[in-house]
Amino acid sequence: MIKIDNLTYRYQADAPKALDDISLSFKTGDWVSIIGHNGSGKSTLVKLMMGILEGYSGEISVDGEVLTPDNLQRFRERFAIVFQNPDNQFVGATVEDDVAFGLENQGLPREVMLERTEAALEAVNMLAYRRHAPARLSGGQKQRVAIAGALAMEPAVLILDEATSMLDPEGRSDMLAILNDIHKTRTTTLIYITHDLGEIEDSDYAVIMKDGKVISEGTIEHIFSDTDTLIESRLVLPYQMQISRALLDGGYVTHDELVARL
Amino acid sequence: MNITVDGLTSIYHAGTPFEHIALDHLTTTFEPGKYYAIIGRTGSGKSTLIQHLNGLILPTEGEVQVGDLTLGKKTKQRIIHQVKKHVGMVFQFPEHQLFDETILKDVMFGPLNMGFTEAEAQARAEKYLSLLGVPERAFGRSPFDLSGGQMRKIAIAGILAMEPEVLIVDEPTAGLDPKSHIEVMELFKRIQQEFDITIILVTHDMNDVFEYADEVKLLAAGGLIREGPTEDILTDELLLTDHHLEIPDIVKLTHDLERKGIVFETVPRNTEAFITLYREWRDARAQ
Amino acid sequence: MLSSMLLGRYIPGDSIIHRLDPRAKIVSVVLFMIIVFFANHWIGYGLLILFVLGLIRTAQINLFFLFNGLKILLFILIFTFLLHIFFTRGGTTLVEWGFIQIDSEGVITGIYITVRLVMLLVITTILTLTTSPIELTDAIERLGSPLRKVKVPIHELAMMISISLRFIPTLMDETEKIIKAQSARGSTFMTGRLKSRINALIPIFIPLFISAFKRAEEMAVAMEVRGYTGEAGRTSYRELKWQLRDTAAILVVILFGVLLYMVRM
Repeated sequence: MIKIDNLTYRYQADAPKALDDISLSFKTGDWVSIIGHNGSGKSTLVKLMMGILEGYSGEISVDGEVLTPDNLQRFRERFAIVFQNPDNQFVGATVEDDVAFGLENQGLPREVMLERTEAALEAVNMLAYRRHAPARLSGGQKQRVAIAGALAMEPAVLILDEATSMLDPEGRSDMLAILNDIHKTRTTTLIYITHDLGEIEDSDYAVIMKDGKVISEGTIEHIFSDTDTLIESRLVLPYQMQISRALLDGGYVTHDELVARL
Repeated sequence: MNITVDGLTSIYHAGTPFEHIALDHLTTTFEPGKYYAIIGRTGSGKSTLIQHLNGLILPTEGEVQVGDLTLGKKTKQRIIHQVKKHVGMVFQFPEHQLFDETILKDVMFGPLNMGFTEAEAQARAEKYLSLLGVPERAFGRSPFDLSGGQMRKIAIAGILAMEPEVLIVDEPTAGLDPKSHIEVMELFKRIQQEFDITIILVTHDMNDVFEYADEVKLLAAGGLIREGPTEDILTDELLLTDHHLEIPDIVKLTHDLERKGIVFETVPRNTEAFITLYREWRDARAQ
Repeated sequence: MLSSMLLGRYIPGDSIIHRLDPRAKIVSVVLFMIIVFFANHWIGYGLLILFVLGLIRTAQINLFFLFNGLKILLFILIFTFLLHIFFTRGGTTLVEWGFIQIDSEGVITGIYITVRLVMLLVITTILTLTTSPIELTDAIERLGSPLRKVKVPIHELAMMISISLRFIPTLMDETEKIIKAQSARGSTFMTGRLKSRINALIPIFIPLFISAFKRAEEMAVAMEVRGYTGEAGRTSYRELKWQLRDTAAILVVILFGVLLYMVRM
């Protein structure tokens, strides 16, 4: 379980609060989506959890252990993150080197690395590309390698920080399918950061952020039960919700449910 | 301005082991004032084609006719420069081309290169920045202080200020949040109608194509597979699936409803149109 | 233009040369660089050429493709050749025209030196063509590990080289995109007077620098969150295995050196 208590953060002493008294808790194994427009504080939240930014007030804890400067390194090993730009997080010269990078840093023996690298590449359907250089991969493939690199480290929490926003629709749906698979077969907690309400259908829990505050949180059904709040948070409703709002009761529907009810 | 592409073949790295035929004897036309979309999966030749339309790449074989200017294998720089005046190009992530100290100066860069005087260039820059809703007090600020979405607008203004008759836009919404996405797409529609220019959109987003484009050209493996009115091509689910393209949400919805016996007289091209049509259908049935 | 250049480029393959341990290849190339200077008349140079041609064949590299790729260095070769032709004196005088004098010795030395230079270029190109950048950096890191004793940060250097190599294609693409984007805005850096050409480079370099810095920053964060803290406590995924054929390769080069030394005059 991840607990965030009264977290407040400013980038500069005189700047407005990037995070304003945030308290959240996520269950182990859940797929949590955090949605907000640019500047809503969602990426700041992630950076604090990863210990990339310092100087906040409040507390972050995982399974009861509170993040402090002393346990930062060990704390980080529980988290893995995939960032937005596929090119700027590919460290290795080839696919397998990149996946192994984090494992090398942990000082694991070579046999363990070989095993984990192979399994992780298998999980993201990239094993056939293991010797390829990044220049020969599409953006979607690079992001899948990034996920493999994260999975290989066997983290308790996998964070995806707008990891699909630079991909084409095909790349995006491949990624979502893989995440779905991970969600079903592993106990890894997924934290999925996005500005697109159309991508959160599969998550167990969603958090809506605006101006550094949590505006709404709960199940997908709960989040979509109040579409006014979503629109006020500068978010765009997915098409089926726009139609539900105009033609039905405005409650949450999937595409198939919409077809059935019209 | 008419653009005619005649037997266009484009080969990268000709004569090396890396040789790659990007376009293979492609022939098509773009008529003035229309909104075109070029679709096809990654590697189908879309971006090579659009770079030929304003002379960034010259044909290996064949010709591109832009108005009365001809681009061929050995066209001179002077002609290419002329073509760029008529055909503007907004690249993917256009904010990466910003470089000048102030927003105003950056937008003036294109017009100045096209030979306009400082005053003329400034007048144009101001006009298009205002059109994009950039307040005058921001003109002197550095473009690098802005958010990604705003930077993109400035970069687009930089192309508009050259007042092209044909505007090519390559994945203009990549990486934008949904709100900015809609703003940018609405902007191009408005420009097309207000200034009566041709828009050529390259995108993977079939919802945008369906909502905004008049005509669609579908490419695969460097060849033109189909061209015609958007309504014909984007409602062909089989064709789209074959080419690894998504089916627009509204198309999926109307097709599913048709199977239920709910059939509209016209094809709704976006969510609002769908809602209106559905209400009309419901009211008609109630009577 | 850049696409046909072969310097520093790697082309995957499965020849015996490709499969050799990168350390064996580096050591062989260094030895060869010394051996080249043993040749001092036409038999020696002839043997050198034969040896290198044999290597090219073993490495399964297309000869035409190789020389085409090195064309870009032609002017250096011509310059070297002319330098010797005009300034080396000795033997019989072949041409005398005003202040220009060409001696037979000059022509011969010119040819020898040019051949030597071509052989050095070709041999290093064979190394880079058949060895992936990661293998090269691995080999450099391991061969250089004794330098650690004198506080040379060899791991950091190897990591720097590796990441730089990894970013070269990305930055090349980026440069091309920016050039095209500015050229679509009417920028003409290929024509015009020198001053205007230099001015036209500003709109290319500024965006390129900004992007490179942004990439570097993001990369640093990505490495940090994946637990990179430098060399300490780090293990290696890649393994270099020295095999009999690697020892054999070095022996072949040494034997060739001995042969070349014996035919000296």
